[in-house]
Amino acid sequence: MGHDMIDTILIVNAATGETVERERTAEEQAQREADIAAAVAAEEEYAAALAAEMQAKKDAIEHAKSLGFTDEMINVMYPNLT
Amino acid sequence: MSTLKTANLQHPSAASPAIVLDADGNATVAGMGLVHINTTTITSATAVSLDSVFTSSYRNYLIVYDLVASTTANPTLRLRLSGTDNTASEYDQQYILSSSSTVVAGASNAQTSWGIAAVGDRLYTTATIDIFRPNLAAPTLLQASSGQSNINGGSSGNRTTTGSHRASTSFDGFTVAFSTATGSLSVYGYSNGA
Repeated sequence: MGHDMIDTILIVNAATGETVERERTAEEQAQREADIAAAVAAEEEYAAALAAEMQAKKDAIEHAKSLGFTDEMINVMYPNLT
Repeated sequence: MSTLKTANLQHPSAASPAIVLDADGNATVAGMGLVHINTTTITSATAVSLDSVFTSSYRNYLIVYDLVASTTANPTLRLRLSGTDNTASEYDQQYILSSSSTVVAGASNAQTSWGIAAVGDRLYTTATIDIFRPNLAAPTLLQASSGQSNINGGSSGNRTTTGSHRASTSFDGFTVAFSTATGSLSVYGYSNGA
């Protein structure tokens, strides 16, 4: 991902109350960047699914209109489509 | 108004105090269902690791956080033992994402963490996460509900996650990682009243 800034980790020991905030190690930073990449991939997968659903709705509306149905009629028959 | 200063309140015939006050004034009440363990304020870090929160005192735990992120938070959660994250590909999850009128279900197994985030680029992220039996030498289970809101008029989103960790490992902590954010994270134990 090419992040220039090193992120920090806040580490809290609940038993002792000790709190440490430090920079991530190189290994931890690499893991974090892999996590972000995975999250971005999941977001892209979700966005693709959303776009596909929106396109399917658009196609369905256009097809219904080609058969002579109006927006009002489509909305009555399929209220979740528009 | 007078003030009674004490650390313990105990009935003479009871074996242990009914109420224990710590130095910060927090009260632990015996028999209460939810016992506060820790609250951490997040000001600049992009991950919070909590050690020594999962013990033999409680079987199940509740994690609650609210974050205000500068960009997509994408929170993930890892289990932790003796100060080290478990990054093995042993996290399985089934989830439902929703935003606007769209709902997407999915599963992702053998991951290196559980995804907790909802969807999209939202500023406000909240979550309630139940962690089941993390301190037992048995697979740890998770049930999480996360919401993300955008006060700028954009749509909100939410995610429900059911997760499991394959290893029969006794964990004592966890790490929640996210993008830069401020907020608060609390951990509670479910007490059986013992």
